[in-house]
Order: sequence, then structure tokens, then C-alpha cells
Amino acid sequence: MDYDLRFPVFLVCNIALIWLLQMVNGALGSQGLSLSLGATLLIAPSLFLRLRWGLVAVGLTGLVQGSMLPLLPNGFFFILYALGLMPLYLFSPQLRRLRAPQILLFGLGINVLLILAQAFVLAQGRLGLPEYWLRIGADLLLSSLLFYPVSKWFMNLQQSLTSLLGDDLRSARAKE
Amino acid sequence: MTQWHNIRPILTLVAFLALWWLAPPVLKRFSRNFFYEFQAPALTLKSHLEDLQTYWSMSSRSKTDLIEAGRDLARMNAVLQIRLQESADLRGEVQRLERILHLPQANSYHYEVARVAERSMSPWWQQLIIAKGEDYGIPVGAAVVYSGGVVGRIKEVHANTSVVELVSSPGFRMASTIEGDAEPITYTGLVNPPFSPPLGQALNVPPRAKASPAEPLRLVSSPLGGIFPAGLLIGEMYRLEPGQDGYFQQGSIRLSPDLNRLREVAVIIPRSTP
Repeated sequence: MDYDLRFPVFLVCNIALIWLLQMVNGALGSQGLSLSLGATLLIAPSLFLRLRWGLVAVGLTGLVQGSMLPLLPNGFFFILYALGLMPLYLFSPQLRRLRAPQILLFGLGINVLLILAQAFVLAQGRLGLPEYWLRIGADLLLSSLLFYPVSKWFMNLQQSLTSLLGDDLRSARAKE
Repeated sequence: MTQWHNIRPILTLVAFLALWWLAPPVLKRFSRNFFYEFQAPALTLKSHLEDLQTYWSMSSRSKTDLIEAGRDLARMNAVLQIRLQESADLRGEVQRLERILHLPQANSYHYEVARVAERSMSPWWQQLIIAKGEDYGIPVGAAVVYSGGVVGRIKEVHANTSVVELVSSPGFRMASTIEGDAEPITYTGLVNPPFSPPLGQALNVPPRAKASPAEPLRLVSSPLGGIFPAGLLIGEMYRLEPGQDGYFQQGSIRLSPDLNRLREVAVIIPRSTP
């Protein structure tokens, strides 16, 4: 069975980003805001891993994230990230030929869809409340504003770590 | 062949999701506990790092500040020593009366102080993770309080950590009363809008109650729920409006902003009856 060394790198990076986001959201919580960057976790596994490894990486990422949250049955983020990975994977041949800002613009669209999917699935009868949509709107705005800088930094981190293993993601994209 | 190539990713996704869907619930629960306990040491480490950060920021203070803080603490210690003595005298008196009247023990719980390791404040849930769990005998459902009143309720207990559902969490419910009144009121948490203190809602408020932003009513815990002791502050009721049934009112509750900044909380653990 073939094994891609980028898989553990992306998984470890994803878990590190989840922990960082938890710390940031812990501080932002006092202002009634939260940062949600699900698509950031999906970009590299969708572009640079084979589909089954990408699904396993984002599935495990979803399980790690969901284990700290009161979501039963466990697996909400597992399914959400697996579904979110698909559009990125299906367009990966085209996306790999693009520059980072264009990839991140596509990622931003996926991130908005992920936040809206969470808002609808987890609403539990609050869909008609204006304050609920005010809060979702504020979170969506904050997440969209910070998506580009955080994702750019995260992509650079992943590229640096994979280059330590002798695998250059930039040249992999350039070859396309 | 090209068609097969096009639908292959979709089939892989369907197979992946079907695998998860068909997985036995025991496996799903195990994976949840496994990944939670996997992250628990990182939470504790983060809590220790915050302590270190506080230590370094405190060590940069001038000696004059430290001397003044020490003097203030000595004064507070003196006051608290007197209160402790008063409390011990009162406890002795209560025990004496309980013995004479053959009453059950009133003080049937003890406090376990725990450090807050993690906060999660989303539109869907608001919870804290505290750095004490089964190792300190914390039970599911126990009340959690702080110096300013009610914090929430223990929702999950793990080996070294516990999850606390905050009083501000949407869906949180508890029995309450207006301070100085005996009629039961239902308190529920609400979705918290951005840039505002946490909010709640009181249902079944008696028609005679009157509250305004200038003269808010204090909503306190009721022992009717069987979890919280009586009289712990929940929040201030600053607005009342007619309820859906046309008889009772419903009130808007402003909770303390300190709820989002807590560093330490106390879990009320019932004493096991002999």
C-alpha cells in the first residue's frame, strides 16, 4: 500500500491550527465572536493528497475538533469536512495551476458555505431568531476578513514542513 | 472509461461516509473519548502556560506595587479571618440545632475549586473545560459557581477534566426565583449577540413583578431544581414583557460579563449520604 509522507504533515498542521483557533476563540468569546476557518484545513489535503488519504486526513481532523464539542453523535465535522473537501478536490487540477491568492479565493467560498451549513444544521429551532443571524453574520464577516492572512500563513507553514521532507509543494504546483 | 473516471471521486466519498455511518456506536464513542483524552494534556499545559505568563507579567511590577498589594491582602486576610470565625460559630450552632431537632444535615455538599483550561463560546453552545475530573470525584450534573454567582452545570466528566455547560449557553435551563420572593421562575440561556454581555431569559415571571433598566430585579437560584443551593445570583432582570400565555411575563436577563473571563470556578459536590 502506497503511503504519502505529506499525510502526517498535513494532519499535524491541521491539529495545531485547531488548537490555535481554540485559543483565539477562547479570547474572542468575551466579545461574542468566534473565528471559523474550516476550509483552511481542507486546501492542502485536497490539492496535494490522493482522495482517500485526503478524506482520512480531514476526517481525522474533524474527529479531533468534534471531540471537544457537545456534538452528538460524534462525526459532524467528520462529515462536514469530507463534503467540503470534494469541490476542492474536483477542481484541484485547475486550482494547482493557479496562484495562491486565487486558490484562497476559492477556499473562501468553501469556508462561507461551511459556516452556513453549520448555521443551518446546528440551529435547533433558532432559524427564525434575528439575534442568531446577527451572530452568524458577525462570525462570517470576521472569518472572511481573516481567512486570507491566516490561510496564506498556514499554506506557507505546510510548504516549509513538507520541504523539510524533501517534497516541494510549490514545484508540484508549477509542474501542473 | 472517462465516465467512470469522473464519478470515481464521488463513489469514494460515498463509500467513506457509508463506512462512518455503518460503524458501530461503540466505535464512535470510543473515537470521541480517545481524541478528547488525546487533547486533554494540551489543555492542561495551556493552563500552566497562562500561569507562567501571569508570573512573568507580575514579576515586572515594581516593588512599591508589590508592597501595596501585600498590604491590601493583609487587610483582606484579617477581615476574612473574622468571617471564618463567625462562619465556624454559625456552623456549630446549626449542627447543635440539627441534633436537638433531629433534622437532616443542611450542609450536604463541599466545594472543589478548579482552574478553567478552555473556553468555547460559539452561537450554538457555550462551555468551559476545567482541569479536574473523575480524579477529584466530580459528578455529572453538579452545579458550578464562582464568587459572582452561578457559572453552569457539569455536562461531561473525563479522567482529568470536566466540561461545564455555561448558564449563558442556549438551551441551558434551571429553576430560579426573584431575590426575596418564593415563586419559581424558569431561567433559560439565549444566543449571545456580538459585542454585548451574555444574555438569558426568564419564563413564568409572576404578573406582579416589575423591572426596568434603572431598577433591575436580581434573579437567584432556587433549590427546587435540586442542584443549586438557594440564593446564588444568576443575573439581573432589566426588562419584562407579556408572556405567550397572557398571564405570566417573560423577562430579559443580563448576565455578568465575568462569565467569559473566569480563571477559576468551584464545583459543588454533594456529600454521599451514609
